[in-house]
Amino acid sequence: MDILNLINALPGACAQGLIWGIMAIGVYITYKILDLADLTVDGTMATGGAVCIMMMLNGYSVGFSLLCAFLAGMLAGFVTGILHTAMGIPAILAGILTQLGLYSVNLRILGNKSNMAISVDNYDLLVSLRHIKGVPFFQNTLVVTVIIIAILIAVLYWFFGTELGCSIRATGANPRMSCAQGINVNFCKILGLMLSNGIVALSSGLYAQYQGFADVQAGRGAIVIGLAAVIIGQVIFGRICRNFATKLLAVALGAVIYYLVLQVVLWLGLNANDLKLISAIVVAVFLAVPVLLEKWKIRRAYSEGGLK
Amino acid sequence: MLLLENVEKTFNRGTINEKKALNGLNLSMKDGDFVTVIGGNGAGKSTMLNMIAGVYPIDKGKVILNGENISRWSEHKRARFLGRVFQDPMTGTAADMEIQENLALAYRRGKRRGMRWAITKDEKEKYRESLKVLGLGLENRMTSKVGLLSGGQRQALTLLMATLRQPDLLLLDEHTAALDPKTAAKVLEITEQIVAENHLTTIMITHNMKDAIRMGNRLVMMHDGRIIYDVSGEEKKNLRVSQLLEKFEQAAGEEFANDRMMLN
Repeated sequence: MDILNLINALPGACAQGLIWGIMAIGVYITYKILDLADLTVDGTMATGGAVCIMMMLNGYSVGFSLLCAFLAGMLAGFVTGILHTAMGIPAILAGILTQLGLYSVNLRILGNKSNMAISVDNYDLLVSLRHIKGVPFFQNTLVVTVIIIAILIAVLYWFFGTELGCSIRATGANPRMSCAQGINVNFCKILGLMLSNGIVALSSGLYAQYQGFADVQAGRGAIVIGLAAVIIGQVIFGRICRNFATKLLAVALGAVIYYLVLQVVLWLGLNANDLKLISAIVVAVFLAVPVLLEKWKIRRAYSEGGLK
Repeated sequence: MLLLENVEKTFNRGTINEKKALNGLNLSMKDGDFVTVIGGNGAGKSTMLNMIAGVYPIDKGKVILNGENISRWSEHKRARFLGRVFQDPMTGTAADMEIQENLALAYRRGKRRGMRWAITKDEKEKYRESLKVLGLGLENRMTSKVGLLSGGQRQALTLLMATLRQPDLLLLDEHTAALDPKTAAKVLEITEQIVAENHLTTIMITHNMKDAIRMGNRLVMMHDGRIIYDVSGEEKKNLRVSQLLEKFEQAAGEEFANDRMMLN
């Protein structure tokens, strides 16, 4: 229980949190803006890494590989979108179907191996767990991910301020009204799912680089981590972050906090096998706390003294 | 202008809950007509508006608007021609979005939505002027979320949104039924004002027989999925509620037993 161990581990936890923060921003688009729970991301969180690493191993540049990861994610989102809108399958089930199918697709992409390694010594990786300390400022993984998040937030802020972005927001806010105002609700849902999964796959591509390998299991439980980040961000920063851009920032910071909490729990003596249970508990607690607080307030309000 | 030709619609066909909502409905409207629609519960009034708007496909017949058969068009495609206000004040507006954002969405009804900004400076001025006309003080709250407004305010806003881009046909589905009498009267007043100013062709469903007689140039009574009484001009102006009840009993062969209508 050496406190120095914890402090040494924190920059790495921050970097992981920031990369997952990108993923959480993707989840925010479906969960909060479109009001859909999209489980496709458990598949896309492996697809992006698989595509990115395989392309880099085949000699493509890191930028082009990440772009292709993004496009692969969009394709997965498109499939879920079609299953949901054109085929009338409930969104959750549509996501599960795509996610399940993606497992086989991901194995194919990885050449029927369950993981593929890539060395930071031989390839020009954008981020890596070995680029946390002792590298030039602009190669530091923390700096790189912060820059990527800043660009992503700026682009999304612009996009959701356009007519098209606004119609996606309206679709999530009130589909009947959107339809009456001539918005093609199905198109907007598909577009939102594509954008969301594209961002998740981008995050996946970065995460695979960070870890130094792409893994077919990388996406297991990803939706829970994404939701955790969204909810933690909302609970902690909800009062101060009212603007769309700061809300997205809160989501990214939510992911960082999530990883810091995990790091502390590990430091307290739990092992890596316990992580999934801890993840589930963290999400449950952050979901439950606002509800319980509200109930407690109501009880106070009906007590003799009233709510102060 | 609008032509409904032998339109039929049955819900839950082949099940125990089968309900024939429209049963060979025919209606023809001229440009500038303001038709009020009355009828008991389950007469098919709302279904008729939903069929015009394309919420569900029809089983049989034709919906023709401006000479074009739109029976197979999707709901969002038809929206180009239609302004709609719903019974539930929550339905017509997006609660989580600002007043001006809601108006901007409505202003682009029937237009392509691309990568331009969703709302421009000039528009905001235009919206401010339009909101002033409502006389509800909303012009000073343009960046407020619509969820903060009362039912009446939301309904007035929906009405404005439905007519911001002039519709060929305005569909009002009991749009004051959920409001208190005073607010309902205010929203009706705004309705008359907007319809008159823009010479809008309008269909208004109401449960209030007095309103149905007082407003518009034509009155239609529905029963069992078809129109049983259709009156316009001088004859309509001179109608009385008691006459309407009589007509209903004659045509439907049963007592008009609907408390909501009797009380009005």
